[in-house]
Amino acid sequence: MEIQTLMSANRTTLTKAQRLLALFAMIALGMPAAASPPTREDQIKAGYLFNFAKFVDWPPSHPDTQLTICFRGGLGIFSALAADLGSKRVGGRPLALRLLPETASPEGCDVLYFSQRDAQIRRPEPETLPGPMLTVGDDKDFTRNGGMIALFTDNNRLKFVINVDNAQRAGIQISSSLLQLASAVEGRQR
Amino acid sequence: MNRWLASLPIRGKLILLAALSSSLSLLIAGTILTWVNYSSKVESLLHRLQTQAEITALNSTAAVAFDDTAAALRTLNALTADKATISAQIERADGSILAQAGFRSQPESASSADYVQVRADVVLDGRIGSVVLTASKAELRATILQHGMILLLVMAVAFATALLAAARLQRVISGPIMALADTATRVSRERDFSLRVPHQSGDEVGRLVTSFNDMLEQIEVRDQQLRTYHADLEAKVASRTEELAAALEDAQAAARAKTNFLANMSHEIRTPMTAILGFCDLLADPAQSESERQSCIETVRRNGEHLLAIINDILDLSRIEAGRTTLEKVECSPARIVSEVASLLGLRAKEKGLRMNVEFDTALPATITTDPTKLRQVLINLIGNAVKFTEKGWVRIGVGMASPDEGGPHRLIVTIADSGIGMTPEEISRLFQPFSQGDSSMARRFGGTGLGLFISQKLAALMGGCITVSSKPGVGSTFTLMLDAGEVSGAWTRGLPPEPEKLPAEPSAASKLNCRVLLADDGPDNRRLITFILTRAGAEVTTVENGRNAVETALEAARSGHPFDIVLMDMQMPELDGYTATRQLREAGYEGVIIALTAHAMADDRTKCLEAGCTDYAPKPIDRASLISKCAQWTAGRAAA
Repeated sequence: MEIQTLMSANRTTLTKAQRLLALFAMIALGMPAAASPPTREDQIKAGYLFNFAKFVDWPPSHPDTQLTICFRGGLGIFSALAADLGSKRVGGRPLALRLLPETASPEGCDVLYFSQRDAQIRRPEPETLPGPMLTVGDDKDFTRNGGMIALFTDNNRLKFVINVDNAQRAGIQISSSLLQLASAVEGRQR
Repeated sequence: MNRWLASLPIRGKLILLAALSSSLSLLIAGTILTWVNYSSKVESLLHRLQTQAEITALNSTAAVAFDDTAAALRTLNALTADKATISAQIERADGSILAQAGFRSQPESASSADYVQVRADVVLDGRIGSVVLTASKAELRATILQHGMILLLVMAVAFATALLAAARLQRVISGPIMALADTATRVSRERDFSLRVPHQSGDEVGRLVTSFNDMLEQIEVRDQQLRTYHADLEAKVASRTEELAAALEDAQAAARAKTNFLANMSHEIRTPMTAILGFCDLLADPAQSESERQSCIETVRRNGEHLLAIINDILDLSRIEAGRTTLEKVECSPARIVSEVASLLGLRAKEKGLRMNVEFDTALPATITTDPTKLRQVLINLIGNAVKFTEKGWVRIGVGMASPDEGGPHRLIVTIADSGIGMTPEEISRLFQPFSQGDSSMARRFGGTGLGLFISQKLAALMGGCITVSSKPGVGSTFTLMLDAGEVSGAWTRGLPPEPEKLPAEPSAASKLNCRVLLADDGPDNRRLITFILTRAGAEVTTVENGRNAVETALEAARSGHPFDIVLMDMQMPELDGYTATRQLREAGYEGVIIALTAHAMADDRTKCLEAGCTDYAPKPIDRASLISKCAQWTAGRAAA
């Protein structure tokens, strides 16, 4: 499934947006993962990540005081999300962000974001995680390696793929609405 | 319109009423139903749209969240199924359009009223967008229009049906009314109040019909009464007219009778008068011989008597006619009365050479109760007639009693038969008319006033009887007197009863009077005549001209010790009449004999005189013999006393 990231109703706007998007992408890729202002792609990805949390149900026993999104890498997205953190809520839960050091355990996280590099280091198998949490990675093969949602850019379009099996193994329930929007859903065949 | 409605017949009004009311109610009901239907349809459309919008909003949450136009379009496309939905769009929170789908073209002239728009928020931790659905009401309109058309159709059918039904049903109401109207028109046109409106229903119209019929009946009854009254009135008028005509006829007849009577009377009185005056002239002629004078005197006397008879008859008649005849009821012997009359007239019969005999057909009671004077008068007339009209032969008088019917009165029957000239039936029919004799020439032959039978018949009727006659010309006549005998008493015998005690023998006319007489009379001729008669009889007569002188003279003579033996008092005098003079004398204590002289031959005169104090009564004209015997009778009584 292809998702138009920019407004599709207006042709003129679309063209402008595409050009902008291309510019942003080039800048973002060329920049090192440092404390730098978030790119447009990062911002969109941050929005996606945030929205994913809204279409996910955790097991009932899972504490729901606040929603913690942990990052292994993905500093741009982190900073994009952190911009107006106070105003963001998921199902009434306040949002918290945590940037995980490479060695740290993702304990207490509700959503765990893997950058591509990090995902190759650590297999995002649900069983390795300390609790039920939604794993999102920016690697195309993230879902095939045990991740739940792979969020990646393909042909300048942001796409995501969901592996339902992996989510279920972690006790995570992903909304069918979200599934409908995914470019592909894996694990259904079972 | 109003006029048209007013002139519409009831039939039309009823039909119109039924059709209009049914259509109107149908229209109202249909309109309300349609409107309710429309609004509920709009409601349900809105509800449906809202639901669809809500569902779409829910389904498009993720699409909006991830700004996924394609997914949003997919969601929107599901709405195609609803025909009412024209367009749908999903907006972002800032109002920009994420996805839009137009399903059907919108008419150019569409206005906002033709559309409904619903909006549902897409919520994901707050509103992130909205779904906007637009639906056309055109379909609803079409539906409503369709409904309206159906309603109109139904109305048309209902109107037609109502018209048909009313056209049939209105007869129930308009039928009797029209019958009523028709009958009323016919009644007023033909004036036939016997018509009736056929009657069937019991409703108000039925009551109206009943009342109308009642009214007609009353009018009819009144009409008949009126006709009856009219007929009665006509009959009454006719009968009154008849009565009046009869009364007029009677009055005219009476007037004619009076005229005839007067003419006859005049003739009857003039005839003897002419003879009297004529023969008096002859008497005055010195050339007359003594025998001729005697003949003249005889004629004068006969005519004078005839005149007196006529006048007496007229008086009788006038009394009878005036209904002033009084009837006495005294016991008397029928046999004696008949015998006396027969012997009285027997002398004349013997002179004519007729045989007269009295036969008793049955035994008679000693007395019957009737008026002897009138009975005698009738008998004298009847027997006198028989003698008068019989030239030769006999007169037979039969007397008897008719045996009374069961409880009826005794009747005395006197039959007078003669062998006289007889009468034809025409003559008989005129017999009892006044002034009629069998033949007008007979008066000259036989004399008579022609009033006798008429008076006799009247008297017989007064005495409760009648006179009948049968006759044959040339053979003879039979008159039968029948009258009510009243109370009968005494022994029944055939023949004369024993003679009652004889009255003192009347002094003969030649007997000498030896007495003093006072004569009070205003008529010098009468004074002279009476003085002459009494003086010739031997009495001493003093005359006065009026009542006052009579009273004075009589009283003075009584005071002087030489009272008059008899006062002869004329009742009609100037200054003081006889009645008053007599009363004054009696009041003054005069006890002598007073004999009243009166020309008033009425029956009550005698009573009047006796009441005034008179001792006796002597009618005028003066009969010489009876005056002398009366005076002798009273002086003889004085002498006896």
